[in-house]
Amino acid sequence: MTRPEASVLTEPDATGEPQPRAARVNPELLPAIVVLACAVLLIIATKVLNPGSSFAYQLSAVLVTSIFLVVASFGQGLTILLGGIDLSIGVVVGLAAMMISILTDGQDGALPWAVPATLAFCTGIGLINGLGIVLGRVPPFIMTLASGITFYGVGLGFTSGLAQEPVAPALQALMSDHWLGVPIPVYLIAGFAILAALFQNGTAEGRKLYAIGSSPGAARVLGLPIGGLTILAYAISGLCGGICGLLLAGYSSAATLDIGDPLLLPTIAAVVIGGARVTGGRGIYLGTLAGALFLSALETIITVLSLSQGLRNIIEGAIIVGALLLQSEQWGALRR
Amino acid sequence: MDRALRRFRTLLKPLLYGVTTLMAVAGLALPASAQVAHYKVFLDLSYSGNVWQTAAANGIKALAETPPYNKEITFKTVISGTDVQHQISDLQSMIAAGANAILFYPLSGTGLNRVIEQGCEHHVLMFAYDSSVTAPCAYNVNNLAARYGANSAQWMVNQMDGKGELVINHGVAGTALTNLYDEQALRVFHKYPAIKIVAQFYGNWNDALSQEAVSKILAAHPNIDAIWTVDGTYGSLQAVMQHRADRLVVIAGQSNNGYRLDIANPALQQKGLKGLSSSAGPAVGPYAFKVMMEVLTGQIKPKARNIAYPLPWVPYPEIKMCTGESFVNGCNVFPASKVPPLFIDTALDGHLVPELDLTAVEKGTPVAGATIQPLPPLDYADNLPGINCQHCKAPADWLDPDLVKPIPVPK
Repeated sequence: MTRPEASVLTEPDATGEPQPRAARVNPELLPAIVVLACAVLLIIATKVLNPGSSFAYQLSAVLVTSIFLVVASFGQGLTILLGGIDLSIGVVVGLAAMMISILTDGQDGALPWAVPATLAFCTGIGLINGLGIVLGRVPPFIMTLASGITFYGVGLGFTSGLAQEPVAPALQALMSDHWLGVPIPVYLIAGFAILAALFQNGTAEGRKLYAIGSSPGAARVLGLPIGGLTILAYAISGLCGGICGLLLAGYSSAATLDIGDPLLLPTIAAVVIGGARVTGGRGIYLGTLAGALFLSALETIITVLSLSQGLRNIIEGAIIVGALLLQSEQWGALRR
Repeated sequence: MDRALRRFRTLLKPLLYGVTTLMAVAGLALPASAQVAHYKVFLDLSYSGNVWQTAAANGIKALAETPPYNKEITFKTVISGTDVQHQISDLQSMIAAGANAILFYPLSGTGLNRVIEQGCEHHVLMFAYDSSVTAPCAYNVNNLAARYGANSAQWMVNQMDGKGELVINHGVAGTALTNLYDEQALRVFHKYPAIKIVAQFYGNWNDALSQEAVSKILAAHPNIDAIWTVDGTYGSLQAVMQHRADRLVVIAGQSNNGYRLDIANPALQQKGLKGLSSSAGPAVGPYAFKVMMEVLTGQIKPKARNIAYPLPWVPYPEIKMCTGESFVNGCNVFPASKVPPLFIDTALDGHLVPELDLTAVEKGTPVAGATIQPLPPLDYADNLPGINCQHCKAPADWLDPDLVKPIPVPK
């Protein structure tokens, strides 16, 4: 699954990108590969600790439950790439899950318009975030925190927290059915990852985001449309939250407004573990993807080992701090 | 002094009603605000947006607008979030605003005691619902002493014939409720050496989290026989139905409508599904409100401060479909077309709060034509030191099941 992205990543360099950039991409790949290897090791370790289990099933359990993080952390990654953050993403996920249940009311026939309507609404929240940050010059963490709280309130007012309607069966089937013996979400992850990596590392817009994140001043001198691209990044983050909400509603076959809340911190963690710089300008989607898979594998082994909640929090916190330390020390040294 | 005043008010009430009716008959249009509000009653919620809390709050709001309560009180709701400091200051404001009674969802068993005592000094009735406080002057209405942990665990052991692989879905780490139920359940399970606990996790009473965790556990332990939960039960069962549809489990937990429908389904029972629907019901909120109102209006005088709400207890053979909007004739589940799967059926209680129906607990509106029905005699709860009292003793057998008879340990 990692191969398509690797080829995508090298493409822009092959097609006439300046030389120094080509040299920079390789060190960026390093954390992604290391993290991915760790994820694989974790899955193997789970198998070793439980010899009775089936490796294929274990792999599919890790992959299927990672899809929410894979999708949501792409949007989060783009905002972090700009030196910002999207704290509204958990709320957007919950709103999308509620909205799709209410609009479809258990009917597949409503999906063709309900899915675009839900995604448009979530993109709209992202747009508002972007507009507030660009036009109102509100710091991203305050803007997204405030819009998250506000929209949570709107959702609460309309729904009192629980969707009274069941999720459309087709959406449930999407998350539980298999094709050629492989769960459908695994294909969705592959497809999403290719598109996401293509956008972030293969398009001019994606490249410009890096430029803005590394040096906003230089980007302004170059005449890059900073405002437009910032709004775009937050809108995409809203869209990803929306997609994640649809998938989560299908997976759990019932929606609550707080269904996305546990995802907020892991989306940030996945981006950071994948080697992105928290202050912006560095990080590739392959890294974020590896981070998401790693976190899912880590959750699995923690659950299977039945570690206490306290220990679990300590491990997860330590890994984020560890990733940040590694970034500033070792990986930084390797880059030089 | 205050009691005399209250008695005087009680006597005054019929007189005022008479005068009001006369004035209305005489054609003197009377604005609603001119009707005398006898009592100021506050509801202090922990946090809204969670399915359970919302259902409880809606039931209370609907009762507050049901006659005759709607004429007897001015009713205000305050949401304190999940922060104890916030709740303390909210309760202080209510006392300062001249509350006669406060019904609250306590965020701490001991942290609120000072403000509760302040309230009692100002002759405010302080009622805690679902969770509990140790302040001796407060009333606690809940089913904490009903031994959910011990009873549900014993029911599962009996269904498992005392052997098999078990998964434990704890609630929220660090809460008094989780510690209490865990202690009871583990004690029962540990009595049967052939029951092996193969995995445990904290599902945070959340269905999506529980579903993810159980599907991951199934990957490592493909032969699990049973899952014990407090909440997150529907999600836990969904995971098994998705990944091991041909062989289901023994399971105990919440009362979500989707879960009750599943465990009552004969096709699923044939695949080994045996379910118990129990745990804390949101109807405890409206019930506590009714008890508080009856105490406030002098209708009843409880002999103790710890009032028991009966533990909802519906094993799979006792599930019965409702045709209407409320729990009548012993029915206890709605068709899937009527409510979402996560609707909590124990938001309704046909015996103790018959004034409520489905719309009332979903929207917080009173049932048209309903009036408050008299309460059956109160039940009192056991003392649990540190949970619902300070210097008191628990019954010697408080960790043992009292609803289910234990089977002998298999040889």
